[in-house]
Amino acid sequence: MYSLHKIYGGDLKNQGSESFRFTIKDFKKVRGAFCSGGVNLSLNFDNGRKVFLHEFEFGKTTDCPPNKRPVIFEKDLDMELISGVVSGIMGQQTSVYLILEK
Amino acid sequence: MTELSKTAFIIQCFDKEIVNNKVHELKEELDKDYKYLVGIAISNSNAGANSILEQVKVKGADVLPEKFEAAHVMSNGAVAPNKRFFSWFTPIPVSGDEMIIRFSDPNWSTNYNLQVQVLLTNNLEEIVNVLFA
Repeated sequence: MYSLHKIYGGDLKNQGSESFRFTIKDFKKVRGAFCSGGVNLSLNFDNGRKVFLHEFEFGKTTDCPPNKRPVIFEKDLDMELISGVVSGIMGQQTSVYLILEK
Repeated sequence: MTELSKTAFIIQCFDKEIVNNKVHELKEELDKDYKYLVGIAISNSNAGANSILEQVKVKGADVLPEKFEAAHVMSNGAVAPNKRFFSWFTPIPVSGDEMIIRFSDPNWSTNYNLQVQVLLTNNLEEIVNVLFA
């Protein structure tokens, strides 16, 4: 069914904004994304042509069921470049995950 | 839609007193009467928001990515008890296997009892419908 793939992890540098890019093999679909609370995430597919998230803010609160916190969507993958930007407080320990499906 | 009360499941709890900001290991055999591990939750409100699940392993395989932020599996009292599990991972086939959880709380300031709850089931399709409903 699902697999979690960490696409960014680290302390936010560069005035609290970090970009990332990667290609995923062995998975056919992306089913969602989530990241640390209190940061904004932009996520692009199709080599930058399709913007799925634009500075989407992930909250810190825990009053929402954990399974409902990721942004859920369905995007077929075809060896394309996935890129994005994560931004928040400078130095904040941050991670970004994709939910993948084979 | 399937109701949770009609499914075959059990919530197994791992307890450990957190006494410093170092890594603590919780190790226990899973209930051998259940075939799949499908969810994980941390119920303790004392655990810091920056706590880390350094490793969550069954049979040597990772259930969650290493250094997974514990906040992703934590909920407060506003969330219904049967909705507090994080299940965005492939259900893990189990059979009384040992589960190892390595936890750290970098902002630890006082001792507290950490409880990690795992959701086990025999009926994969029904419980998945409940978890994501």
